[in-house]
Amino acid sequence: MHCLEIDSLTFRYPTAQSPALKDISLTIRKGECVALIGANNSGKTTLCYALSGIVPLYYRGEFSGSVRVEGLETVNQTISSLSRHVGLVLQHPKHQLSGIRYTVFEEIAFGLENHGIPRDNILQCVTEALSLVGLSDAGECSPLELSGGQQQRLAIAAVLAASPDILVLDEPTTFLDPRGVQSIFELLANLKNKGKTIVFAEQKIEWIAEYADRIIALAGGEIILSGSPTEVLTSPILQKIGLDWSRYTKVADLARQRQLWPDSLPLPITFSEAVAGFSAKSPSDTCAD
Amino acid sequence: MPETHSTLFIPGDSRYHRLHPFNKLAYILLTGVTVYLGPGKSLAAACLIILNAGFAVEAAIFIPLWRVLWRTLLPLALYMGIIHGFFNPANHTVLISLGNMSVYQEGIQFTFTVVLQLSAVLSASLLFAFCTHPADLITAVSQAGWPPALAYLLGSPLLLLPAMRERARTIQAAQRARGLETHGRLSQRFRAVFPLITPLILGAIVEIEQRAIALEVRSFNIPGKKTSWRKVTDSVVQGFFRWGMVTVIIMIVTYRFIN
Amino acid sequence: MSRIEQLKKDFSTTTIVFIAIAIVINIVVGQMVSLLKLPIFLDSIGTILVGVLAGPLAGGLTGLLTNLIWGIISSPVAAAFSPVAMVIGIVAGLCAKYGLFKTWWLAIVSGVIITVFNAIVAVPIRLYMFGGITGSGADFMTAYMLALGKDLFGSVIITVFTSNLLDKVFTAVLVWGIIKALPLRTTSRLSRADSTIA
Repeated sequence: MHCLEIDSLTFRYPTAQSPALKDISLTIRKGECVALIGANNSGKTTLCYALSGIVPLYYRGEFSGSVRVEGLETVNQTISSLSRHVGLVLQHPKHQLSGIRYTVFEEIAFGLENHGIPRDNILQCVTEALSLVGLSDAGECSPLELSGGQQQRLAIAAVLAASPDILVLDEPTTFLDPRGVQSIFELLANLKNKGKTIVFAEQKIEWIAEYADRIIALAGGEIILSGSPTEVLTSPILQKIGLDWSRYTKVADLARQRQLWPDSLPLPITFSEAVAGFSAKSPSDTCAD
Repeated sequence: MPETHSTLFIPGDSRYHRLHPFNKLAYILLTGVTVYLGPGKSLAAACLIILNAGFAVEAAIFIPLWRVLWRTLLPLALYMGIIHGFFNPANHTVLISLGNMSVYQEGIQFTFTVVLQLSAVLSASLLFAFCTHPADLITAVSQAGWPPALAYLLGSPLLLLPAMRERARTIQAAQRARGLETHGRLSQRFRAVFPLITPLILGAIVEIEQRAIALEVRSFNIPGKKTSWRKVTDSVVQGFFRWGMVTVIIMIVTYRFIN
Repeated sequence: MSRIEQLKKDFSTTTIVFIAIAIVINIVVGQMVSLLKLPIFLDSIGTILVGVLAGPLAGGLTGLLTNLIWGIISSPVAAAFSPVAMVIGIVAGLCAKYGLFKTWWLAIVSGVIITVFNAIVAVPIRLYMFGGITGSGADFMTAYMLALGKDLFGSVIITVFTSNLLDKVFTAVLVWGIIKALPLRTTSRLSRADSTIA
């Protein structure tokens, strides 16, 4: 079943000269984990906004085509009603704090309070959200005391509290240290196992290779590539749109030119694939020198 | 906790701490109206100051309150004493003669009254500031059914402040490293304003949209009844006192208008 | 557009966040500038910015809340002057509405107008609550004029006007420059009318 359907979507911001998204058509299955890649200004953020209704409900530009979230046409919804179907997480962890809640627990409760959810249910939802993102011990801390990675997990918990089945994240790891990045990807894998549909824009190719089911590459507001991680991340087109192969792919490509990589295998995109490929080839070739 | 809190609030569990925030606010208003508009200005002010001192002792904040109070009032009282003692237009009873200048009784009396009035209002305000957790104020505002925007505007600047101060320090350090002169001649210091404040302001403005989106996806500003996890204790007695204070305020204001 | 609709548009989530950020800008810039020991304060720069872009009501609210929040951050004395800060925002918004922020020299005119209204509201508060005293160097001016035989009201009004003129004019021109420097994308989201920006 498709839970996100985009049909020939074109969108231009009010003050922009050219459209940010051009004729995008895309469907995403329930439970899928899809990564959006592309250079700056390729349309990743705008696509995330379109999937969560921010475009065209917050940014009212020139909008044509349709976006359906679990069957609901976003144009006819409000951002608030969509938040129960799709949660949006932004780049900067600090900018997502409400700014009027003094504890992590209350920060997560904020969205529920706005919906008028009774206290008992708030307790239950927040406790669940806290344990889901691994912040159960931090409930009484101040959100400002948390590390960047913890704050970003708090932001995820805050949108998860409204129990959406879809999570859209716009470059959630940009401002995080390596440990924070890892914690976010582990959380995404965990959420995927719990059946959430995940769409995330990301620059970190090596992490995407490990976690995404499908990758969509954007350039100039259009979908240039779409397919399995191996298909997309080893495609020569990638370099033409300002992106790069991972170091594993690059090394294996050089190795292949010198017959050091087995022809039967596709180029690797992860560390473990690279190890497997090189160890399959190594014994005879190392002796040949 | 300087990094997460930026207010005068001092945690505590006294009766004054536990009072409903609106009661403490009404009390500030009552104090102001009484000492400036009510009858018997100085006497009323003196009584209220003694009362406030009692509250401060009860709330265990007497020393910090006293410290802020005299630091604020001492310079004012000195300037006022000098200016009014010498030059108040109503002066005519000489207290002390210093050569061709004299200190007059009327000016000193005027100063004394104003300082008493100010002390009363200032101590009532400080009681509020020292004994009210900002979160309680925010909760009280939303529980009373006021627009969520108001609660947001009262509360969020306090939590945005530490990050913005941090950014200000970063900018200051960066500009000084590039040779910006912040202690030089007047013209140099004037020129230092631009590189210090424009990056701060432009940076802060650019993040507005992200913050607004983050609030909207969490259903901020939607119509309809809201709930509140945090609770602010209120009681019938407190409500009675609150409305009682409001009534007295209205009475004093009307009394003033009639006279 | 009906009045209710205009009010809703004036207080969109974006505007509310803008006001909150502007309050913090007032406080932080005020502190930064005080370290430079200049005869200006710039502590109403956020208020005027909101007034110009988001209208007189939003501007007034920014000023009012800035001083109330100052009151619980450092000293309740600031809260007493919240009506003054409110009027600064309102007048800035009205000036912008009538096109007085379109060029830098019109911004100077706005600065002068703001100073006049600032004085009108500040003087009664100074007089009745603080005996005409600010506790700063400007008080020598009041003393001097009193010594010359002026009455208290006149002396305080002249003191307040002159000690604020440079600050408000400087702030107004700075706000004009900041709005010029902002990307169109941002200003178009923050402003309620295109007429305020040239």
